[in-house]
Amino acid sequence: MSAPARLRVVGLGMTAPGALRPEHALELHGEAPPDWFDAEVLLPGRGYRKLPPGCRYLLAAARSALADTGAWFADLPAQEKAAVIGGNNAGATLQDDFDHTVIATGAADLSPARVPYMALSMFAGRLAPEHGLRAFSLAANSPAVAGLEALQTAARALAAGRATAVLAGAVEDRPAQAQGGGAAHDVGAAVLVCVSEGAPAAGELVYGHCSVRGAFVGEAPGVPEVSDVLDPLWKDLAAEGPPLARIDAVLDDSPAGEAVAAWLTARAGDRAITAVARPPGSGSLAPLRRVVGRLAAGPPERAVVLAVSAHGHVAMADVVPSASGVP
Amino acid sequence: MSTATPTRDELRDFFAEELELPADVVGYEADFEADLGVDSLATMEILVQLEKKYGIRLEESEFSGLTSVNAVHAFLADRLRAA
Repeated sequence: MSAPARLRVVGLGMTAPGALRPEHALELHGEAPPDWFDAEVLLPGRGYRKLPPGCRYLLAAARSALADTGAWFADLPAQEKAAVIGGNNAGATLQDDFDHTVIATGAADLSPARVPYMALSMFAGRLAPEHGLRAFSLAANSPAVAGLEALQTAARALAAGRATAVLAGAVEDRPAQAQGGGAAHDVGAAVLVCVSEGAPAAGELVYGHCSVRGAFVGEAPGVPEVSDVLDPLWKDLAAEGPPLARIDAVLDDSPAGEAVAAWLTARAGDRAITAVARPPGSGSLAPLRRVVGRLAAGPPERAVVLAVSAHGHVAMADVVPSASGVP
Repeated sequence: MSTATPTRDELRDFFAEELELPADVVGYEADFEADLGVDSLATMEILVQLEKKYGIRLEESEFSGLTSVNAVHAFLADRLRAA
């Protein structure tokens, strides 16, 4: 099995209720106060007020992450800068609002500034004009794993030389109550400024290193047992590098989530496990928050962040903070 | 919903709010595009808000003449008087 592409993280941004800095990313808060996002502080400037909330969270997180890189990122040629952003519910409330407007008064009353965000790719796409990104702008949309898959895609793109720096992240907004939303769903955004492992130092700050493996588990005919799918990944992951000390598992109570939880319990040994319970269909931010938190605030120990969707998609991030033995 | 013709100051304040600019920057004759940096998407957004606020419907052919606070004020006065 070939090793997954690794990347180096040189900037972190976190914008979520109770976690407005990367070092607070591991702290989970339930209810989001209505005024938690103070735009004057987190996203000052003209032209943002009409944007959907999720877009503002993402822009604020990206701005914060890029502040870590000083002028380095801004000075890169536009064709060397890119973004990959994961999401699942970032536009859900917006779609609900659109539906209500069309039914109540007609499509002519839709906000032209927000209509483009019917396409979820616009959330990632909005970063391009904001920060001059011209290499590519990609959106990954799926429950639970999209944020980690954004990191995986960024690592592959960097390894392939498609960009010098990639903003990888996740953005979410809570679905409306009618859509099954609630306090347990993700809200906010996280952004990691990523560069290739082999690239010259981007600046003085290196949070750590990361790679992501993906798989599919399920109960459909022909799909192998969970252990048959995940054991090779686990063996591959544990084969090299510093000792694996911690496991963060973002799981729901779906059959896939329960199957992976049972597998993890059998494989974890004496490693510390932090289980983060999410409702099926929740956002993709929670796993990426764990990555950000492990890089910014966790003990300097190697950690795995694992996420599973109710559909059976599994993503496993290998997170190595800078102080844990890998330069 | 208001159907009374707004004063020019009320209209200037409306545009200042929509454009996220201080009211004193939005002159009565300032050209939205050339002087205030309003792009086509922002123009569409403002016109939709204008329709909602004053209970009118604008035809696309009417957009091009609405380039300043004074122009919009004159247009609204005519439209609301006729309603």
